[in-house]
Amino acid sequence: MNVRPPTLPSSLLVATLVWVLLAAPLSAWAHDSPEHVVEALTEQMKQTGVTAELLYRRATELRVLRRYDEAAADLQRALQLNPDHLDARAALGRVYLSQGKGAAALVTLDDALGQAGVGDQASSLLMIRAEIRWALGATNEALADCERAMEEGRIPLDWYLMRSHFQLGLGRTREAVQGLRDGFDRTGSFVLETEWIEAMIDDRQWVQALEAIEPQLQASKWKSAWLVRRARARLGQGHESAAKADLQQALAEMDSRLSSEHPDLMMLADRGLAHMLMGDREMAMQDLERARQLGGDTWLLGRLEKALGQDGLAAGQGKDAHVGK
Amino acid sequence: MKQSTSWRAGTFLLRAALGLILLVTPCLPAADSAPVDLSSFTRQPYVQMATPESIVVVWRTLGPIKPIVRYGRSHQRLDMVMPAVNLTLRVMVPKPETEVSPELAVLREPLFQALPRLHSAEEGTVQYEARLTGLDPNTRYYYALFDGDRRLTPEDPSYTFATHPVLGQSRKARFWVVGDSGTAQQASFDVHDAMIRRVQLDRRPLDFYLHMGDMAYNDGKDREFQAGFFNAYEPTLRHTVCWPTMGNHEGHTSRGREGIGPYYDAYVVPTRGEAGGLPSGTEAYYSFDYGRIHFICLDSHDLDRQPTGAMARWLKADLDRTRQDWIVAFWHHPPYTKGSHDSDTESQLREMREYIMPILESGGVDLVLTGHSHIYERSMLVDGAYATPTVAENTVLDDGDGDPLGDGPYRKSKGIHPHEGAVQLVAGHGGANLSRRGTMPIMKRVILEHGSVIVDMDDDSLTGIMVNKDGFERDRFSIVKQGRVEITRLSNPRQLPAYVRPERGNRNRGDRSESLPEDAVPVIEKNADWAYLAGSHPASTNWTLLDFVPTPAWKAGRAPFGYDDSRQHTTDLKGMRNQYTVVYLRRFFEIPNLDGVSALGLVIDYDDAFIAYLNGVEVVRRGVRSGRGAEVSSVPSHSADGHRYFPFGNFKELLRPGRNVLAIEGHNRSLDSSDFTLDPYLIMQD
Repeated sequence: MNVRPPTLPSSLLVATLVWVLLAAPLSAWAHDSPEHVVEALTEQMKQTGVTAELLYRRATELRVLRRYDEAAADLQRALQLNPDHLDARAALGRVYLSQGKGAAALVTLDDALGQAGVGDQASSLLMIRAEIRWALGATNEALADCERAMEEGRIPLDWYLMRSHFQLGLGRTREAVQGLRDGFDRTGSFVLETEWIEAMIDDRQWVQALEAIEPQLQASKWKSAWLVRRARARLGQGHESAAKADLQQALAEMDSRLSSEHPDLMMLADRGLAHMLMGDREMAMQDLERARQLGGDTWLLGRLEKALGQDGLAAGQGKDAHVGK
Repeated sequence: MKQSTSWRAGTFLLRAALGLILLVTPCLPAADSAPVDLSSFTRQPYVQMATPESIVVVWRTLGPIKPIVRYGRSHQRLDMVMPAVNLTLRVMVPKPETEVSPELAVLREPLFQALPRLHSAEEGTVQYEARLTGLDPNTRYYYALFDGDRRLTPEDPSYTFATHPVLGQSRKARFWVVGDSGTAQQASFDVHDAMIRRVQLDRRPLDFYLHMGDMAYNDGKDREFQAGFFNAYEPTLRHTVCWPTMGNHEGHTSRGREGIGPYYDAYVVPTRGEAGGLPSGTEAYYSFDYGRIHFICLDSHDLDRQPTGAMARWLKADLDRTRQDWIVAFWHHPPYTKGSHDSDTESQLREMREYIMPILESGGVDLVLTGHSHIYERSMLVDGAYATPTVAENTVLDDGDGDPLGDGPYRKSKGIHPHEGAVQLVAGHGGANLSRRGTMPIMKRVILEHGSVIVDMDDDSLTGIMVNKDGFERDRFSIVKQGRVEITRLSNPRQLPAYVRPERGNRNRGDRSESLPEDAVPVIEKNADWAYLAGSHPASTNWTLLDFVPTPAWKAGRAPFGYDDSRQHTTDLKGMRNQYTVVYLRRFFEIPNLDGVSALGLVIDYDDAFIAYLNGVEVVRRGVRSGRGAEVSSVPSHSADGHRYFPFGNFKELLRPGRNVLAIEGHNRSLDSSDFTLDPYLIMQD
């Protein structure tokens, strides 16, 4: 599945990827809210002087408050005071990404990787750079960074997901299936198991996907997500009537569960996909636009965007089949 | 901590490392034949991850022992032994350069080096995790720990545990909810003690408890865990499972993404759905079942909170899967609060509200428990309050108090239905300093007292009570799920009045800034001795004058004066509560040369109000609207949240060369106030 790189600023997924670099213990005043910590750090700098470490810590809190411009200013100054402050450099890269400054983010991460050694720290930096590269449309390079990061050490669950996104974006669906299966085997994560099933559908492994979907469907109380997946696989096999029945049941359930004010974005994406698979492009577009308004991005909406041709592909390329009207 | 790999690695290596020892161990002794030795423990035993068929007993020693767990249905007959294959070891191998005893040096052997590592415990620590399996559901067992034939735990029926009921089985449940308690200070001990007294009074023990995080101030280090959590709760932990969620303070040293750090060392929680729920693949978030209740724990601190993240996806799938009648979710950062934190401005809190709450409410959540904000806040029955700032209009489904003896319980349909409302409860009042910055519109109760919550549940009802640290019940609410309930949204629900924050610092017209002068010197030192009168009023106002002669009722005491406020008061006025509300202080000070004084002012931390006099003339008052001494009828609440500086504007007219006197009367807002503080000193500027 080819997925269009997101419009900057991209997913805040990167916000968690180098948490390891920000886990430096804070002193007693970190007990307070971020605003208080910012005030306390500012006061401390007035009293004891400005240091790179204090600026870095203040920037950490400013990021939590989404005051990215101030955070960037602090981190830039911190690096002037101490160019070897790797945590600050990595954090600055993340801030640039949040500000939509992809090119600056990439340069900053390149510098950070030049400073870093090996191990968990370097792996985390590689994952940040992978997301930046993805945001800039360099998916091959993003995947390369991701695979390097995942070569050794502890592999967080999110990394398996990110790798599969890159692989699907490049149309390397078979690798995505294998990678997610590997992750599921290692961790037992239900999310990875689910994504593995989705990837099998993307890879047109209809029979295998249906075999995996069936027990999940039976075991679930709320079935809409699994019904949509089964419908996709059934459509792939050409079983339109059965797929239609699944989609109708799924839509009825989702309509009863979705809050009109602020819906569950994953369910909204599923409903949009169900509409599209039913051939109702207009309703699908409404759901897609609503999801985008509420902050949904390509990580979440990729399959729906592809189905609607909103993923940058030429019309007719790579679209799923849908129920004929 | 990747539990599945640790089981495999740990059990294999343990068998290799200890197999010879166990094989040569003769027949196990009777339970009471060997002397008890609790001192062997560096962390006393506690139980974790109960299921209908299993439980994990965890403990630590310095250096390895020959670990044996005996258990049975009677504490006098521990006739079952845990097999070695069910034991996991984690070690803190001594560094090469550290001089250690031979008993600890053995940990440097290759077999121990290959075992899973603890993150940052004392060198030589060995942590044992013994999984007892094949148990009967809903059954009480007793256990004892041995080092070979040497008994380590006393013959005490409090070393016990109960397995969970079978999934879906109707069974009443009682659990404790506490958060932000890891101060290792008196307030958190009192909160724990109050819970123990309450369950004894009710003759209804806990089935388990939930901790909302921040259980190990300030940085979640291993020794802070020991002091703030394990030592504090040891009598409870040996028989009651704590299901934790990580707070931001644990997050200083532990990392959810990798599952490493003292927090992950301390706890054993599901990763593969061992206790019910879907496998998460991580200990950062998980779910478990108890009878007909499904509990979901999330990591609000350092994982991706967005719908694209693994945690949100797992949550949605877990909600889709469960067929239980009740859903209780808990994590650290509250989606709704105006306590010591503000959910309208802080991103972690906001994201939990905007991204996670829609998933939970479409999944039919009933109760959301959080901590982080150092306050007790409990909402009405609400749904769909995702906007920023939070509003109550059209998000409140029932604006009553939820009290069965008041407006009546909140009502929902039987079973799980989307968007029928949930109660939001912030339980961050377990021991850390309390504060409040406003009123969250959806809240029904906002209480600034230390305490915790006890929740009782059965098939169709849930009742929560907030018990403060003195053991008084301060809030009660219920949710009843019966039949089919029609949901209506209130366009204009009853709300609590807006919160007026007590006046701070120097707000009177003409007063100077409250910043301490940079070159200030103490004239009356901090923590100085004062003459004080407590429990009665002075016969006249002369007590503020320089030539006043104190009566025998006046005593000598060292600042700070007061009681509670979660801090140490050098002069502890324990008898003040419910007896009197005013305390009087006097202290002489010397000014050799008036020309050398360019500023003079009082620095004071106080709860709730005071009036200060310089040589008999009032110079500052805060919180006391009118009157003095016994005339004062009431004062507003003011928290002792730090010293403030009040310069004396007219000091030049009042000061004398040589001896002077500063007199202060401190007022409490009410007789039954839970705290009082008066902590003054005097400074001058040359």
